[in-house]
Amino acid sequence: MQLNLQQLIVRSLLVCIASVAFLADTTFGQATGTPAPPRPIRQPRVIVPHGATVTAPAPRGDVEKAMAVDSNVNVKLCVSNGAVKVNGWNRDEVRILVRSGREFDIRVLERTKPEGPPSWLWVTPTAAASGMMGPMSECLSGASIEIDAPVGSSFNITGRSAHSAVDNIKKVAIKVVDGNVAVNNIPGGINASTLQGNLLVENSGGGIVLDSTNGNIIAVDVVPGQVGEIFRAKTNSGSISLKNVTHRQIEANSISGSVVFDGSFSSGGIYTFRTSNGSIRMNIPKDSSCKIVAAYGFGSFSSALPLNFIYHNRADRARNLAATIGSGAATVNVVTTSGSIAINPRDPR
Amino acid sequence: MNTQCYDIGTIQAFLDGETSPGAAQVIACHIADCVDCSVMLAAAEEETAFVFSALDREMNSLVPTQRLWSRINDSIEVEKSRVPLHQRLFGFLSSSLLSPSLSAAAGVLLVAGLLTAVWTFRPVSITEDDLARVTAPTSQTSASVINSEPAVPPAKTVSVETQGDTVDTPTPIELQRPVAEATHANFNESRQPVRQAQPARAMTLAYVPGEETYLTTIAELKRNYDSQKDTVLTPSGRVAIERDMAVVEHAIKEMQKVVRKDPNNQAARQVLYASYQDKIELLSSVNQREEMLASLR
Repeated sequence: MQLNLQQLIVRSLLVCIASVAFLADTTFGQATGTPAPPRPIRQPRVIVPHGATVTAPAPRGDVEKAMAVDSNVNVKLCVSNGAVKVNGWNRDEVRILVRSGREFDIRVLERTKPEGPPSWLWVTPTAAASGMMGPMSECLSGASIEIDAPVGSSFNITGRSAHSAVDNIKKVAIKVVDGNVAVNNIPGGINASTLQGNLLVENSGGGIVLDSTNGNIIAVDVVPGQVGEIFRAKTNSGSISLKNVTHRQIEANSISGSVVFDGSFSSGGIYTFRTSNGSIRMNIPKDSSCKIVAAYGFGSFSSALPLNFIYHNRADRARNLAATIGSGAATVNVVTTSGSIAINPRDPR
Repeated sequence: MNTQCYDIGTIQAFLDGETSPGAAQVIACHIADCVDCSVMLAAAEEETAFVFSALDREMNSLVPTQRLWSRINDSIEVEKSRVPLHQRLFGFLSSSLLSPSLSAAAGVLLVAGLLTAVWTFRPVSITEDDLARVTAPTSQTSASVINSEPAVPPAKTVSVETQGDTVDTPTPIELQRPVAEATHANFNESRQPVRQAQPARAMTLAYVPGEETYLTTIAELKRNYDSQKDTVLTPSGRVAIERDMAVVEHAIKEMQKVVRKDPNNQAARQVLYASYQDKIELLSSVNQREEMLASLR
């Protein structure tokens, strides 16, 4: 309470000082009658590294730059705000277009050879244009940021408020505070995190880690790239929907949302579905082979497929069971506190 | 000596023992000297033996006599006089409860008594907030615990204090009683501050394996969360976090009750651990948000 009172007093003093300063500036400005000089219009300063292709700045503050790069280039960038769109193409070149935004540079951090094409890039605002210090000065800003990169490229994107769409590159790691993330055609792995927004993954592969605080997570047609790669999805308030995710190790965890798995359990796979307050629904083929180990506190359990119960504790407040479908080749752990668990036959269509 | 022979009726009476002792002696002396009478006695004995053998089943059945009845009644009276007092009370109550009004009154009293017992001995779930207070107790209370109860292991010593106690009585009271008694003691303390001078008591909790680690971690994260939630979270984000937190805490409390009652309930333990994990991830998400915002600031 004392701290709040102190903060209130300090803030009040700051507001008073700011008001006095504003009034004084206005008064003295009118008195002198000297208008402020117009700010110079800065042209984008282009650094031309090896093999770079430079395009003149477009009108209305659009800036476009391009650079010849290695086919497996790694690109790192930060976005303070703006819609990010990354698209893979079959050219060893990175092209970046920022619409109505801040000037930027493409910095080469590493090359495959001393005179070879860049293999690691860092896209940052031009130092003179940013005009400020601190981590946020390293983030791009604009109405939209469009990037074309080789299909073998990897991206590391961080951002504050950025709706992101990544398509047809090798690998992506993206972490934004606020914004939806849509990822398509990424075969080499995805690590996506958004504190406030939805995550959509489609036609991708590799190790997948999806983390959202308030948003939903949807994954469709996702395959593992190598043996042992994990698919992990976690959200607090949202739902998780997995369709045709063929990883042998899947972890899906929500707190107040539901979890839906629509696909097949691979032999030897380990699947963990957990939710505190939501429901867990598994749509699997009738000829599935898995062992279901379920714990449900106050919820319910139902299965439309025949189960061979190993044990079934039907206590009043904490129940669990173990049962097999078929020969029990995969292991499925299901935990919910107050939600329902349902196993249904998958629609063959 | 009587030389006249006896008739068959007299001999039968003699055989049945229905003659007087004097007459029976005279008859016996006569039969000893008289061949005819001895033949008649032998015939009567054979007939009697035949009849008794034929009627043996009926003759041996236990038919209580009047004297036996009187003895049985006397024994019952004696046993009745020896019935203990509680049996007499039980009989009185049994007969009294046949009345509907008396039965209803007795039912109300029974329910009230049960509710009082449940309220008095209800289990109190120990949350991580309580544990958080344990990790940083005041030096005064810690010293008093060590001085008064050196045998209590420090790791299992938990100070239970309600929010009211925290506000009204700055010094927490530690108890060495079951949880329910501890809570009552603290409520009493809040009403009677004079009792703070009493020696501090410690309370022992039985955690399931691994639970203590979860609680310690949650307490640590909760401190960070409390210090950051006002600055890091947006109003909508805070509402969402608080809602999820309420869901998880409800699950934890419910499962704690089950686990305290039956520590071997694997399902309850599994759900409890999952709920702890959820809470850790919830609290961690706020810290991660803070780190991410700091990196972008």
